[in-house]
Amino acid sequence: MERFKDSLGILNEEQFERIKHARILLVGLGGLGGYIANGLVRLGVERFTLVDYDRFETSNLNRQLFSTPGNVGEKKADVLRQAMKEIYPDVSIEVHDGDLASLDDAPVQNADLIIDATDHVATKLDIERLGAEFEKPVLHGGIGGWYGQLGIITPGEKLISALYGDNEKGVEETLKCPTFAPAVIGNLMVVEALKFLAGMKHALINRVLFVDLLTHDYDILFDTE
Amino acid sequence: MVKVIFYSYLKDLYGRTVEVQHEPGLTVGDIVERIGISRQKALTVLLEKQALGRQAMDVEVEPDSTIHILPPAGGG
Repeated sequence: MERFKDSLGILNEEQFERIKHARILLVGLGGLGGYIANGLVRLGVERFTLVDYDRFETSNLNRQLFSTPGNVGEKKADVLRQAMKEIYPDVSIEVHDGDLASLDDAPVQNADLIIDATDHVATKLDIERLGAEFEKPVLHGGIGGWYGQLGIITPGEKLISALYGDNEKGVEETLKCPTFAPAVIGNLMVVEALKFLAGMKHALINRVLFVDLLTHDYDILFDTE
Repeated sequence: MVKVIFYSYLKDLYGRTVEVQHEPGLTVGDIVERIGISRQKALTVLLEKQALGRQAMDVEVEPDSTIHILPPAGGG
């Protein structure tokens, strides 16, 4: 427990056990996914299914936590699995080296939380549908330029669909992705995952937090409460 | 009056908040055109804090309403 003692100031024993035994389905292991994986494993989450078929590229070096010049060309899922095991050897990690459509039902059925850390709007919508089909909550996140948004969507609530509408891409198409964006939004997603999994109050459930790092405006919208 | 709140890069273009004079039958599409935005532009629109969906531009707005207009971020 020594490794977790500095997290226990905000968690009681029961909450810590809930986090420890939670099962995470993390889709997308790039900018957001790297910070989310890092944060959750350091919090003590022990069970992950990682989904990403992509490989690290040179252009990832500006922002993706586990990207280094030495692993350009390597599969993100393999790199993250090894890195997470080094951080916390007790962690159990399954890897799906394919797209979401080819994922078996079991990791979805077993998940306590599905995390959308993908960079395609179409895949984000697929994740929302997956959550509805298997009655699983989805922690959504998106980034672009100075901006980002995140929130937890309960099964049947179509907030991701409402958010994107007919848009196939968001602001990232023109504003790209600076170094800090996945770090800030990814770690905010870790915060929400923690609150949700531990059964805490104030999680962003069916609400979406919009973050503007240029002006430091933080707004909660899509509030269905 | 109807208050329009902009998010993301739209704040730089139109300001954080704009007020539009209400009139009977005023729609979201009317409002965005008065501000100088094409109603064909793909944006996410919320009335109060509820998303309006694909038919947003056709929705009539009551006096003293607040609409939020934002372009979402889709990167990861």
